[in-house]
Amino acid sequence: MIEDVEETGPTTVGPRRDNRWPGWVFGEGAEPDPRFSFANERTLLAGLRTSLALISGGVAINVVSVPIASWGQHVLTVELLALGGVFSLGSWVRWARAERAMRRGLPLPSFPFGAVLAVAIAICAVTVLGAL
Amino acid sequence: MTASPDTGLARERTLLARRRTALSVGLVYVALLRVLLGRAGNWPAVGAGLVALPLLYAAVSAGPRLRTGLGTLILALAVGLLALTAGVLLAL
Repeated sequence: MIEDVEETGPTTVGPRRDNRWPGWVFGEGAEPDPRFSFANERTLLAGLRTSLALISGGVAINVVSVPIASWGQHVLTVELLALGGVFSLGSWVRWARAERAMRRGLPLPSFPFGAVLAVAIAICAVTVLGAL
Repeated sequence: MTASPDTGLARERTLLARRRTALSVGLVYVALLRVLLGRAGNWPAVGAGLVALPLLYAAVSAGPRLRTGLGTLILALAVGLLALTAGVLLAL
């Protein structure tokens, strides 16, 4: 979208390390401020911990006896496990896109999966209410 | 890397977050697999293999360099696999 961003983009800090993976992220642009990369990684790690919480909840709702209808248990289990699995990989994609944008000096990409996650959690709440 | 305190502190926070996440993944793996294996029979090989993934992440990310690409993908795949395994084991 924006082509000539190198001059106003991130500053170069140290030599470029071409052996880093993935190449489509680290092979572009200039090295951003390390603090931004660290913050980006911490956001990813927080996303992964959120995925773990979703997966744990999905398993717990299935193996623990809870006072809701059995169909509700099954639906919630599927919802939470699917959400946890997809969100973990989605978090990594978000990290890669954000890192790439920082290297190229572009605005950070949007995170539409955040809205999906919010809606899905609301659906889980509705499912619990319906199964009570 | 610069010698700025800001950068050093950000780096330390990130390293701690890496270890915290690896620990969380490992603990959840052990806890969930223990619950699930009791239901679906004995899957020791699968369990051991899955537990090894977060350990691999911890090893990859333990170095001083920013090896975020590979390490974080391993961890993301480990979490995704956990969801898949849990779903399969619950369905059995």
